[in-house]
Amino acid sequence: MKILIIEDEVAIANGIIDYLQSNDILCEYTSNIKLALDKIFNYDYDCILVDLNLPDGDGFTIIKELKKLNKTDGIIIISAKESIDIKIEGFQLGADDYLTKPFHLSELLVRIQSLVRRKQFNGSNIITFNEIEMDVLNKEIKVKNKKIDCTKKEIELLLFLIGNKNKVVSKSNIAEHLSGDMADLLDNHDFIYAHIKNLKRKLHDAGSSDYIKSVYGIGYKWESE
Amino acid sequence: MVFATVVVLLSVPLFYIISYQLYLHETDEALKLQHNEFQILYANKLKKNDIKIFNELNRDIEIQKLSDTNSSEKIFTKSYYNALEKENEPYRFITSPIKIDGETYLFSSKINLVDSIELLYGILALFIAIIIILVVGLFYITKRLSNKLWQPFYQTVNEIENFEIDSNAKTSLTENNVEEFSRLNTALHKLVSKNRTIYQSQTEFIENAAHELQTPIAIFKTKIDNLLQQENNSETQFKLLEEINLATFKLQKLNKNMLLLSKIGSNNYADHEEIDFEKLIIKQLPFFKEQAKSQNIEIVFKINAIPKIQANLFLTEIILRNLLSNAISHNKFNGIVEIILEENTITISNTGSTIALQQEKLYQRFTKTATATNGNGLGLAIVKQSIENLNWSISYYFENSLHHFVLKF
Repeated sequence: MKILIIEDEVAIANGIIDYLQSNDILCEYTSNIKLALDKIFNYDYDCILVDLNLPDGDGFTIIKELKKLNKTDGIIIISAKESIDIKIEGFQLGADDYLTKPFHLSELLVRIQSLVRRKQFNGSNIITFNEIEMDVLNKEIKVKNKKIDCTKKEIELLLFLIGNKNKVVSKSNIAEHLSGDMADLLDNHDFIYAHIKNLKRKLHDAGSSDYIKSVYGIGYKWESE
Repeated sequence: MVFATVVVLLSVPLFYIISYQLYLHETDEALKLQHNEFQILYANKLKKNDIKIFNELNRDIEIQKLSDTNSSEKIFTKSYYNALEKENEPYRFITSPIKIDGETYLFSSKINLVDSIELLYGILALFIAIIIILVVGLFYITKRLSNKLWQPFYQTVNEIENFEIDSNAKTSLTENNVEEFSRLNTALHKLVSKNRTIYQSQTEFIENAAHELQTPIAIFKTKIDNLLQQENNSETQFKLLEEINLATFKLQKLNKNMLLLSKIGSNNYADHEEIDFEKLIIKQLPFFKEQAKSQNIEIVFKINAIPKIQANLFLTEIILRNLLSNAISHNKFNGIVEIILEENTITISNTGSTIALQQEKLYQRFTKTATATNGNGLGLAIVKQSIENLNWSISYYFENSLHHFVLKF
């Protein structure tokens, strides 16, 4: 998978590259519109991360240019701007997702994966991990071809953990991800213990290996080996 | 007005006296004239024998035989029975000795005086009529005049009363013909614009500051995520990282709330739509039920009536979310949260501390209570600001060990 990061803050860009590279994602990086357009004209990307506040203009310019070139690259806006109007404008121009800064890298990763899946498989949205098969669209989990009953939150959790496989995600990351736009109102992150516990039990009961490892009781890691 | 009335009333007796004196004086003149006329025209022609006939022909003049030759001219007032009017009426008399045919006679002539009482009444009636006309007239004239005169002032007062520092409505403190009002308006206009500018720049500063903080917070968050992935993290390091992570989360939340607060303050969120409160609350419930679970708090939602309200959806959602979030975070183990929907109100009640909250500090920014563990003290300030924006009202009371927040549309 190849992505382009257009972000003027080097520290953030490096953080993103650092996190994504170990997930077999090839990252390219530019910090302004001019260089970004050069890259867009010459290469195709699975996903492009666009910051809106760039030193030589508005990130929307890049989206407009992409649409003019009839490119199908997935576009995720990453911006500190939170206003609904700007979000709507972004989506109307053709962005696929909008992630408000600050965000967790784990969140960014699952958003990129979800977007790329949508683009590549046109509807059939299935993730397989060894004996586990997830139908993201129909919200179904199968272990060894046997459907297991899971809540919406548990499916989201599984998707998040598999998406961030071999990465440590803290419980607060998981809690923020599961709360969506309500995350600001989170008072405690303890509720995810129950979800983790239930998911672990359900997977185990269905005969799956235990991939979810606790990291010192504060974080979790989906281990593929 | 009162002064004018008093003056007019006091002038009644004065006017009476003066006019009566004048009247008497005029009467006296007339009598004297009559007397002189008589002396010039008739005194020489009149014979002794004619006196009787003369007396009969003249009702007002009488000539009588006078024994006392030393009497002099006299003028006096005397009541006299008037046979025609059938009442006693005052007459003014002149008596004067005259010589007819060498003998001395007493000439007396009388003029009917207007009854003094009637005169007084007449004057009084006239004056009262004048007073009434004056008072009524003055009243209307001054009222109209002062209305017209104070009109710009009232307009100014109105403007000031309706002035809100955070609204963008223009104040129409315009130029005026009256110099004083013009000065007042100019001074007020300066004051208003200056205050607005200061307020504006302050709001902008908060907004900019919060906005600028987002990038460093974003870097923080990214780097923590990077650090978490280090292979050789020890447990201590990992715990430290998670603590920083939580603090960053709080910082991010605080920053977002500050941005939100200043946004609600400066934007009007004018687009209103019909709010389906039932749906809105039910949509939020799963999240809050999940939050409540760890404290074993029960959330009860009762619908007594369904309100039909036009409001801004975004603000309504913010209000409900913050109130519900507070109701859970300020609660106690095994507590309850009750949401009651009525036609014009929503009441959110919760168990928690056993004493009532301090009303006056409730909606102030950054006030925290001992029970709040994770709040940043902006939740209720945001609620208050949103409510003001929507023209709703909120009240708080403590009853049956429940804290009640009543939202009234």
